[in-house]
Amino acid sequence: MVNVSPPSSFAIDVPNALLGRARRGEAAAYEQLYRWFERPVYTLALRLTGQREEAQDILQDTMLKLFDRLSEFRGDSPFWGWLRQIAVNESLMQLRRRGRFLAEDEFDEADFAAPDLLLPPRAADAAILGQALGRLPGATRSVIWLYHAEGYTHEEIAAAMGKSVSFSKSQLARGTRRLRGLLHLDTEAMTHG
Amino acid sequence: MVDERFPEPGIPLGAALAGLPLESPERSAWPMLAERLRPARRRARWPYAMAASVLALLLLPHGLPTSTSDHALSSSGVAATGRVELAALMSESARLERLLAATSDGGASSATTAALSLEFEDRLHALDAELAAGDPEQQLALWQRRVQLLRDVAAVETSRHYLAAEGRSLDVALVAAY
Repeated sequence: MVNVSPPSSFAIDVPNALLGRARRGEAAAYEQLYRWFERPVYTLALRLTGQREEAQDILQDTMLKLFDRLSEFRGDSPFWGWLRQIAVNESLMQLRRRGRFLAEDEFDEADFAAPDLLLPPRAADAAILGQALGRLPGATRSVIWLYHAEGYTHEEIAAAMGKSVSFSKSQLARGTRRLRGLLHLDTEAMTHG
Repeated sequence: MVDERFPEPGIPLGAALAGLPLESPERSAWPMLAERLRPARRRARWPYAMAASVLALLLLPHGLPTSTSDHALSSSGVAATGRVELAALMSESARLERLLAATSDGGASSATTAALSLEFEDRLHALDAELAAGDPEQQLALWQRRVQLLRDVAAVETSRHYLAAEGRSLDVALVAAY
């Protein structure tokens, strides 16, 4: 199955004029940026850390960095991607601080087979899926979320996490298996390829 | 009952995850962020004021203009007087800014003082931008307006502190007065 990434919730086109006003220090422009990206940043942070209070702190820190570093944004890529990377970095830093990253050597080549998972509608229910996701280890959940929901490649995940590509592939495969178990799925009926 | 010959259609994990609803924080981070932005606005005017001061000082040896403003100067003697006046205005401006930096709460005490503070910032910023433009004929008048604005704000701040010391609020006093 070809992995066609769904659009990220961050994918909001921000007019250059608004960015220009923000660069000039207009509080109203900053507030507009905050309103647009508050929920995407908070949701990403919550999915990666699994903790609401931490996500709240990450939202604040990400927005502060946005204000401080906006002059560094060159505009050769979408603004939302730039902001999302700040949010990802802040979230992963939080996981590292809490020691929730796994050691690099906790996988082998056999771990890399990551079957595509098809969920029955009952398992795709937001409450059930969100709960299952929340029970995964932080690093595993982060890889799954970045790969599936944000469309990151394994190379990009590895770079963001300071790990190897093999680590990313391994965590994706393990996480998929763990999710299947947590969702009580019939693996034969629901697994492709 | 599900017919096992025709299993339920599946939803790809990626689509299911991306379809999860966005979460909302329990409290907005914007008030704190806005507070952090406010000092940045205050800082932003210092370079203008400093640039204006430096420019004015550079202009002093060449004398001030002799027409246009209420304080127009028409002879070298009066020009010297104008230079003295300009230096005095700049000195008072700096003194008032130090006073306000020490006493102002930046509008944190109430919405009314916040609005006043922002209005003051905007007007001062506009004046500093004019000063930075460096029109020598306008220097004296602009510095007079700057000092007057600072005096007005200092008067409001003094009133706020006086009322606070008496356990009263500037907002209440404004409502009572108007």
